[in-house]
Amino acid sequence: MNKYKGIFRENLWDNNPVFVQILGICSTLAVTNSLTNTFIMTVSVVFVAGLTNFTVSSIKHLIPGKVRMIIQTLIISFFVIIVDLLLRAYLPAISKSLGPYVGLIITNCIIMGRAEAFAQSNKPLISLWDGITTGIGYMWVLMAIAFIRELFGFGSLFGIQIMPEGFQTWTIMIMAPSAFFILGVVIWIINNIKLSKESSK
Amino acid sequence: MEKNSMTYTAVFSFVITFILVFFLALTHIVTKNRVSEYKRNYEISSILKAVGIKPKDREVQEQFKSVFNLELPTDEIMTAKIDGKDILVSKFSGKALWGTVNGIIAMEKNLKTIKGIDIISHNETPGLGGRIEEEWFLKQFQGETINKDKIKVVQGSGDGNYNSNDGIVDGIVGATRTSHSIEVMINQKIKSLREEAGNE
Repeated sequence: MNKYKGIFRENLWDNNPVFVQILGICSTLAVTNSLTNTFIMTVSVVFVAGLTNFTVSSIKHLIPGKVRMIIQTLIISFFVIIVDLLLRAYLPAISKSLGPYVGLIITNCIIMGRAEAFAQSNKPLISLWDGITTGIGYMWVLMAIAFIRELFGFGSLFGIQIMPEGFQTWTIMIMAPSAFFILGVVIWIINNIKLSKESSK
Repeated sequence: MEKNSMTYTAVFSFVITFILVFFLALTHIVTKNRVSEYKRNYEISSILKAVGIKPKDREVQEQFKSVFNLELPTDEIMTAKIDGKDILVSKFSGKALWGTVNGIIAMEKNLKTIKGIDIISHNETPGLGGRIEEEWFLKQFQGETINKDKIKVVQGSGDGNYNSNDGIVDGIVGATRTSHSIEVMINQKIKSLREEAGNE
């Protein structure tokens, strides 16, 4: 059980995909101007990362070495298209507002990274857990950025008006560059916390 | 068979692709009807919104039938009588920044006043060009009188221009190209509607 706990901690904090490994940055810039979109997008990543890891790990002994990465990409694409089809059928409004970004999960380096670095050398169940927790690590950072961007950019949270009437919305927050700056600040703050923890040890 | 041999690699790749595509096709078949029904209802809702009727979930088809006397939307010009006025409804589409924008325009029969517009689909950036779907933007077109055959989408305050006599609407801040494309495609549609009316 300790192994699972260790992976959880590792993926959420010590080796977080976004602010430690600096992966998945494109989608961080793209979708984080709305909390609802970010939530659905990151849940999709959790799903795709978990199941891709599980599948890759289950058939790793069968995959020929030279087509290893092509097969991984194929498996990732499979799960992403499944997510896309399900969103279209059951959550059409969200599917519409996410537009092309769901399809772009295929290019999210986090998923490929975990399949290659973890699932290739571990058992299926723990690989599934690694995929899910990596997704959650990605989720919480993106949700935090989306919280700031939606609050100041639209004056709302999950589409519900929070800021008082007459609040001047910050257009820059809706645009991709703001995510770039906020992400930079987040990385800076977290690295500072980590450094101060290490130095106090 | 040797795992790294050419034959094994080819057979393995074929088998795994076959399995994955099989399940994709299955999911597609299972969800196909839902998706196409949703698409149709969405289009009907757009038409209703363009003519100023609030679409009610699940009842959109009945609403559409009672207003237009048609079972389903067609690609031709559709007509309706709303508040005693004859309204023409037509689909429009055109290229914007990232892809095609499809929408609905409703005009009074004299083709001088826009009753309303709505967007069915687009590929513009969410939060920027994607805001062409937002109510404040679409509302600007309601009742807009066309000046000199054209409407203008201008760089205004970005909050919306609700003066319906000037033929001018505000573009979206940070989405100049999308705003301009909307102007072009609506003006083209007005022109073609007028030409068709002139030929009749």
